[in-house]
Amino acid sequence: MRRSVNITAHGLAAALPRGWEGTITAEHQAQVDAQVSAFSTSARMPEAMPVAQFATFALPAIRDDFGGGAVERMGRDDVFISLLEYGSEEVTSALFSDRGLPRRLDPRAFSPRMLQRRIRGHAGLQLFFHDRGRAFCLYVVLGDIVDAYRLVRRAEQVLATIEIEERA
Amino acid sequence: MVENDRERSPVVAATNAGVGSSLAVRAVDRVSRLLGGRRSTRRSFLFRAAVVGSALAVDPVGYTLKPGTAYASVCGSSNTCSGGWSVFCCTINDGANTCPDYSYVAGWWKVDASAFCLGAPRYYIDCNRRPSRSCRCRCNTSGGCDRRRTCCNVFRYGQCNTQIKGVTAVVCRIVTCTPPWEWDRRCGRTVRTSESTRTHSSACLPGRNPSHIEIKYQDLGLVGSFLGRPDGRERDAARNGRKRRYASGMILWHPDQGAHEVHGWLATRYRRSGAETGPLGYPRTDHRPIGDRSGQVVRFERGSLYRKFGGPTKMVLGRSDRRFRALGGPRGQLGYPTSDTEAADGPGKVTRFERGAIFISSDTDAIAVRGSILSVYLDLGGPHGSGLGFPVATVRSLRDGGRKQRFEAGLIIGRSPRRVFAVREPIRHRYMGEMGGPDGPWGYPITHTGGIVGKDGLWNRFERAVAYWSPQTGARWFERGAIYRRYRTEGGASGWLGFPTADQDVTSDGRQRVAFQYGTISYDPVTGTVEVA
Repeated sequence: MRRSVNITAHGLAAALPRGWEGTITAEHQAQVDAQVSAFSTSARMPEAMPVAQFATFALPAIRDDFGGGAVERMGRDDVFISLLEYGSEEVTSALFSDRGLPRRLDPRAFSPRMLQRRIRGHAGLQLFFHDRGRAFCLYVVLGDIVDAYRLVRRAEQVLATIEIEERA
Repeated sequence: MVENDRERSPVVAATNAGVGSSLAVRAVDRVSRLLGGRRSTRRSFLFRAAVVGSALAVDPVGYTLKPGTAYASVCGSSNTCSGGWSVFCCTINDGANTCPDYSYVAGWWKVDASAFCLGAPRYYIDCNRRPSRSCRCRCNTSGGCDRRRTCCNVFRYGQCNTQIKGVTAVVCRIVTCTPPWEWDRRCGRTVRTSESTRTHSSACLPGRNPSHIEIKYQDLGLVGSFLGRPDGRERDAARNGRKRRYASGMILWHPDQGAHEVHGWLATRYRRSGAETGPLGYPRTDHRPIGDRSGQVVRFERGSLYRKFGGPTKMVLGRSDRRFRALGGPRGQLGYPTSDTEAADGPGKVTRFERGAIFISSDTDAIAVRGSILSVYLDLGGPHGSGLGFPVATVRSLRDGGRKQRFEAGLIIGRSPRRVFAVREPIRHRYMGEMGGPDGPWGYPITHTGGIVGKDGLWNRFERAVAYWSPQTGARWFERGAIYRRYRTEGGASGWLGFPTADQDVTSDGRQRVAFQYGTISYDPVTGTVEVA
């Protein structure tokens, strides 16, 4: 019987327990460059950065970086995690000043208001930090705030397996 | 009552004014039917009619032919409070597409290939509550169809103002077609996308397929921009361009230059010069601060407008402007312009600056003249009055610390700024060529080149010599000694001797001699005698 699935990309790795699925992606920089605005006045291009997404439900092919298009499909027993990297220049900024990927989460910190988009019953938590010289945002959505303690433990099962490598 | 209201409504007015297409008429009919079946207050009717009007303007085909509501056509999906998304800033900020003062720019995402940005990415920028301020979570219920939430979603995209720690509630969203890192230098470039928000909009934002001017105005902040409210409709401008006036300026668009704004004093000056049909043409940039923030500049197709804060706005044109910018612009050696580029009392043009001037003519490039050389040049009458013509080279430093600058018909040269003099052709030619310039036997000039009373000729005194020129005799020189003193006593070139016909020479018996048109002066250095013959 399958115990876990390992996924690795862009200097991120996770061992997903049974019942989870996930992706680690980054838009190709060339693709991003091609989309640069006709209204841009400088040669500075946007930066494509990795996004890792893990969920206890089937992730749709098209979904937003913070889970839009996916979280709407969550059941009450589901958890969605998005780990998003930012430019390394942010490592020293105040927003990303907390150190290390949070492996344990406080269920009481989750709130129906801490969501990109309010969805009835959901609760969310957003944490910015830096780890191994890289800046990240961790965004976790629970399918049912009433069951926050149990769902947070589910999320922590995945967080415990995430590995972040130093940027080459 | 409803019928009366309908006659005054914007939708009916638009139809009567000639929107007139079958689509529009059908849409209005649809509104009529919709309203006819319900109890409706005047206020609610007017509100809904305005939304329908916007829907027709934004997406007439989509609104009329496809299932859905006017709300969805204008404001996109999930436009109610229960949709869970945050409201647009212009909806709650008196029409301004800017962050309310109790919020700050906290992050952004994009939707690619957006019809709201003519196929370019559309950027959504979150304004989050300032940590020191408060705001109450509520659903927007005031005008328009954007009935989303404000101050409710505690969430942060996180690319902007990362010096601010923590996450606060999103107050509202700004939209731009300009990349956020260019729109606000405090935003980073890490891309985040949200396809879910593709259709999100508000009645206060431009609709799909907007004009370039509408996009520019939106990105500047709409009524929250320094342009203020629109003052008239967008209309055609010269050479297939477009323009629109606002309370404090204007936006102009041209296919080759894009859309740019001009506002305040610069807009006043620009309009006075004829705007896009005047000498400047279309703007190529928005207002840009001068490097030290002492003023502003807008570049145009054929020149620039400069304004030092508290000072006048001046127009520098063509090659003069290119030279000015090459010399560092207002922060360079010339400082801010103090005049427009204007006719230089005849053919050619001059632009004056705080510390110099740039002259240009059809035969000469744009050349800057500064300091004491400029003072002398202008005192002598400039390009036309001085006899020097226009400058043809920049100022050059000499080995001994002196300076010189060439003009079409001479040069201005001096050992020190206080002793600068003009030497006109053809004396200049002899001086700087065969005679070796200030390092030669003449030394530096100590007078300007002068004319000869009653005769066609020139003269110049130098540190160690004096030179005369006439068409008949050419440029001749002799030392400033006994011969020269006697020549002056005899009336100089205006006197009976006329112009020298040869340079000073030494005879076989050791006397110095200068031959003139009508006589000779010789000097015996042994006896000290001077003879005139």
